[in-house]
Amino acid sequence: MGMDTRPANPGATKGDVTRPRTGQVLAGSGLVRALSPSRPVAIVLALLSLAVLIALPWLLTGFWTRVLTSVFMFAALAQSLNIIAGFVGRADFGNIVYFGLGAYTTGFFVLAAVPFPLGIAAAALLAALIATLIGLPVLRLKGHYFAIATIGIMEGTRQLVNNADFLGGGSGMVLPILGLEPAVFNRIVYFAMFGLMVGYTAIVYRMARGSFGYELRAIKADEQAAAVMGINTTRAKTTAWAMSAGGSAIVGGVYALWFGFISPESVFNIVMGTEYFIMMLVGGAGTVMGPIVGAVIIELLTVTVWANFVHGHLAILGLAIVLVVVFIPNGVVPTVRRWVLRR
Amino acid sequence: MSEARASVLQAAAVSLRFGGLAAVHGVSFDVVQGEIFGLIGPNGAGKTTMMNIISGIYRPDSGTLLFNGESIAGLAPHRVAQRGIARTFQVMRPFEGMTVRENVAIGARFGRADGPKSMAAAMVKADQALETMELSGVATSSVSDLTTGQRKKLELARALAMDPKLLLLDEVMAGLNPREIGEVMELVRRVNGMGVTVLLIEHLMKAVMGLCSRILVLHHGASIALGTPDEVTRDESVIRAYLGDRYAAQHAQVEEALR
Repeated sequence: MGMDTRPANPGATKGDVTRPRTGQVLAGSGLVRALSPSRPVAIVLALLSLAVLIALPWLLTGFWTRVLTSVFMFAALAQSLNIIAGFVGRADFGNIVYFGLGAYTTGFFVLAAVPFPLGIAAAALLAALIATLIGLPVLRLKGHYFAIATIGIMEGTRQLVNNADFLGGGSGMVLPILGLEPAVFNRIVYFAMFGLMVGYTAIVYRMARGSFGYELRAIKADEQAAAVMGINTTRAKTTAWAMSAGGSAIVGGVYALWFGFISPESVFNIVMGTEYFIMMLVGGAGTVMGPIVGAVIIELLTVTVWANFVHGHLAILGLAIVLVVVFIPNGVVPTVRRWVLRR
Repeated sequence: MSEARASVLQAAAVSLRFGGLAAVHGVSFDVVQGEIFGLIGPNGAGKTTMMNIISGIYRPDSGTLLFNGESIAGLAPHRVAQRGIARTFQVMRPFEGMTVRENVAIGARFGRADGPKSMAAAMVKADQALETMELSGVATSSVSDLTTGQRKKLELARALAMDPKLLLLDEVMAGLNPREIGEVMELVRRVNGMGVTVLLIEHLMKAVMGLCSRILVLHHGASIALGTPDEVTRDESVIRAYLGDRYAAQHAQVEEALR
């Protein structure tokens, strides 16, 4: 076999392998540990950036506060998607359906005078429940078949909502205005989205190191081999999809509150769903920091281009897909990590 | 031996059809505690299908399959694994993107319901299996850096880390050079010596003859012979299955003349 004869292959012979292979050893540990000289430095850096991000809404204009809010929103969505698409390897192109369901469920309950947090909790539970029920059959599919099924679910749901009069049908749903001063309201949404991004990333960070993360990675690598090694693949996949759906639904709930108006076109929006899928790919699918890095890159790029050419951001997305697939198929985070470790 | 040892695995009249094809047809055999049991037969005989039935990937259409006296027919693969049946695949299937130790630790962590409850503890257990398989030196390597021989040993280590009572080996010797074959045969004996019953599919007759106490021969999904290596290789129907009717007839004439 070819790999037997590869010359520069330190792992191939027994004599060589006593030398630690730094790249491989660190590849499994976190980006923070891999990129920074020591743990205390990393903690100080993290606290510092946290302080800056907390202060920013008072320093920035309303426009840039909203831009950052949408960066956080997309990062949270990409992180939710990362659980099923990045870790399990199931290309959930219709993940935006849970964002839409979350927005509508929250809207429905808020209009029924249910407190907003309860509405969001209901949205998360409903989305997770639906993902579980759909997932039991649909997660048996893989590759293109799974991707197409998720797009079908998403389009079907959009049509259902379009015709659901109790949700406002095609004309959408207007949520009550909270009566807060715009600057204060924007700051609240900013911190809500920021909190979701940080919270989801913390969950994924813990997940990636624990048993559940290994279950998902094993399923991604080889589902049948994972099963015969004792992993309950059905349970693991379904749990991952339920988590992903619940996460996207919560973001949808906050979005509904933020914009005050939702319609089938605005929340069951396949273009937006594709956007955060690309963000996850650009940053690095299956990595902890990838979704955040991808969201920052793509969203800032989009806003800059959009300011000048209204539909230009779509071209940017297309270009990003091409560049990532050709040059960094694993995404920015794994590529940078490898580059740093090589030096 | 004063008394017969207990059967670990009992298959009785196991059948499975794929559409019009009887992949496995009325196959019966017992695997006895502590033995190395061989499953041989020409290509397409149903060996791997039989192994897939045992490990829960396929559900048999009919027949019974008992593991330590309890039925495992149609049980989900992870449940079969957790009862104590580990297996390797004919085509090696390591988890790419993980280190060798992580690969083995998955077996340790999930292979048994009463196994380690954390990945950290599973890593420790994985190191033991790696040592048994002489892979400690490559524990932190990526699986993509392994040679074919090392990958075969990794398959064995992953299965061993599951603390199996019964180990199913699907052509572990295929694709290895003579030195590696000797090594892997030794490792199979070592695992068997640790009290693990082994059921192996193998094309390499040297390995089958050297390792197995009893052999079942499958042909077109049906069992045609069962016995010790010597008995099986002298069996007319086995010779016919492997070498064809004309050869079998000549062979019979020669035997006749020699008698």
